[in-house]
Amino acid sequence: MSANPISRIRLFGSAAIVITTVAALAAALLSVGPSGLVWAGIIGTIAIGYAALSFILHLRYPDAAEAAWDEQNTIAHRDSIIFGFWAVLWVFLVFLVLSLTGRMDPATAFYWLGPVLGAVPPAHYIASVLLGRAE
Amino acid sequence: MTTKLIVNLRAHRTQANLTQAELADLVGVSRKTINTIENGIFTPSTTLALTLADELDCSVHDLFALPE
Repeated sequence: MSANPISRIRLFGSAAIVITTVAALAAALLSVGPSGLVWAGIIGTIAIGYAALSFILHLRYPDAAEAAWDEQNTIAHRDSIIFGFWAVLWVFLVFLVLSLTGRMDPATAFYWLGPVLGAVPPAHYIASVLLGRAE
Repeated sequence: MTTKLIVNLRAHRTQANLTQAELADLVGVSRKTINTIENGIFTPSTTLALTLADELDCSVHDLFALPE
């Protein structure tokens, strides 16, 4: 575990977003738990809370922020965004086929693209951290 | 080009009596970045390579070399 507070909050924030999104997807698939709107509120609250806390820590620890966003971590972050783009594109195509063949409601497909867009880049970043390619 | 670099950073760092965390603080990167450079996982930019050489009082060629 990194001693850098920015790296820590980035890892915890990313993990929280991914875990909540996976939980929401699982709950939707099993038709249990709160409604999709409630899940959207939970995921959104966590994401905004993480962003706000991260912003405060960046102001509080500027040197740590510089180290946390050094070139290796910046490259890992950029790779996560690129991976997220392709993931959303593929998920969109799958949802498009499902919608056109009547197996998925277009409104539901549109709704789930948001969580995928939000959760895939942090999931990729967590994988980079676990593989020792980021902090 | 994916030529793997020969990295002598660890030898120069220990010679300077610095830990990875101390060197990371000196050059403004994370300890993980120093660790992955030393293990040949991450290849630093020219700027970072020059900064490392400057801090360790040696040349970039002392820290990194191409295979024969």
